[in-house]
Amino acid sequence: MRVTFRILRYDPERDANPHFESYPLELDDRAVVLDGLVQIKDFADSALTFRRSCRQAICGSCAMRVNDREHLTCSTQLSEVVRDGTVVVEPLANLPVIKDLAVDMEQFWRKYRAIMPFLIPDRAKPAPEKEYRMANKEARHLQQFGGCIQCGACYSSCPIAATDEEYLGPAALAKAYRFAGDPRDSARRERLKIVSDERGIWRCHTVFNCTEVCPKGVEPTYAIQQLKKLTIRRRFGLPV
Amino acid sequence: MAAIMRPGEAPMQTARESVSFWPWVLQRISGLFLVVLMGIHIGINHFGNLGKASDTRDLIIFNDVAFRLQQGFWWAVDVALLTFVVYHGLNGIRNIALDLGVRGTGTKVTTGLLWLLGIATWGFGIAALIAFRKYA
Amino acid sequence: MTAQPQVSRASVERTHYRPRAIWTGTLAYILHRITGVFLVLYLFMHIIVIGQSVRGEQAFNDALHFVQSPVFVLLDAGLSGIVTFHALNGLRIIAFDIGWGIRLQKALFWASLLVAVAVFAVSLVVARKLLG
Repeated sequence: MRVTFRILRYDPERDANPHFESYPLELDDRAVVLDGLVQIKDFADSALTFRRSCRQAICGSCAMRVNDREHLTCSTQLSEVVRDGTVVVEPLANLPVIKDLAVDMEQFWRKYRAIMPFLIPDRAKPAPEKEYRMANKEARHLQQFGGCIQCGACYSSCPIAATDEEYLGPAALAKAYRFAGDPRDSARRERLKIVSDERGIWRCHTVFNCTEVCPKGVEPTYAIQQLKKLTIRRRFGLPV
Repeated sequence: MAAIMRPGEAPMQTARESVSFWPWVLQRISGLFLVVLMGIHIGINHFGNLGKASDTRDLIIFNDVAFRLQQGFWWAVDVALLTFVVYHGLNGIRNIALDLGVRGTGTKVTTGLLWLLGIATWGFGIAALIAFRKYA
Repeated sequence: MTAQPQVSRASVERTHYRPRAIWTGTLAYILHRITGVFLVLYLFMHIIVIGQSVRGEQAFNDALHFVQSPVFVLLDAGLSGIVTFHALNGLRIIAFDIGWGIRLQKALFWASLLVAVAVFAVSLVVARKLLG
């Protein structure tokens, strides 16, 4: 397959502004976007910078904007996205660019840390002998939210995160629900307090971009709506 | 237990919870009321005379409006409509301002100006409604 | 550590509103906001016109007749479409908050838009009839 890669290049030591560069490639019909990037790095410009690791959609390193939509480049076939023989590859939006296609994820992680992304069991109760059990139904309900690989695709797609660096964003909020909705967790109220903010759940305008682009089938919008519901119950003194 | 923070890291900026919670709730409540009240308002005030109107000028008659506003129910409908619509509209503008990047002091100034504008608009609207009762 | 990133979001801020990046939910969001701003502007105009009652019946009627000219009546047809869309899409958003229809968001948006367009069309017919 003949395909032209248009890549948004930016080297902070040389360029004042990012600019597009084109690379005509010949690739296998079944090739994924990442194959093209690797070929460019190997044969055209070894300075091209991007993150990639596992190549099987589990490490979450290689999310980028391909033709104006967030994709894991390792699991997106060219045939899915190519238009008029061209594929436009840009770094994730809403995050500062370090170089070329690599972005600085620090603010993403900072928000991730802010929502206490770990289970807090009830210390007052004796620890179970084997494991903390939960009902099958509850586990299945939460499963998708545990499936997040923190690639940042949702964060990049969110128009709210675009204008507010302090907005917690879909990934952190979905993770907050993954624990706030967990029957084994004892810190639900505290979690709900953290997310109940103008920079948290109340800022989500249900645009659904995050749900649209998630490569792992997580529905951050759904999670945020559950958090809103729980918070309303908490604020009105109903059991949560 | 709290958020994990790196040494020297500033905590996430947060506002008082009520500042973000109540506007959100009121936006929904006012929106729901508006759907009902606006339906009544448009149906009665603007289309009530549609059947017998032969000209657009027959649609709204001063004395009809004035007569309705003598009655407690219609007075309450219009006052409620005015209150909810002004709140809903201006809070919507505030939401847009936040999403356009208004921050910190700017948020307070924006909120304050919108409250002033809202109170002035509401006052003028009430004066207009009272006028109907007076001239009838 | 790497060099401090110098380009932040300057290069990417517009990305969410490029035609190819607008999905159904994005479109609903954009339309809800645009119609909302329009309705606020209309609200002020409406209150000013109706508020002429403070100057008496004659002033009220004069103001009213001005906005009952053909141009305004045709614009009113557009207004009813806009009000309908904003109301229905608003109900769609509230439904999500209660937990209804989150996974039907696209269908609900298109339904809102369809009804709004229908209301606009009917209003246009009625307006033309009134204007003769």
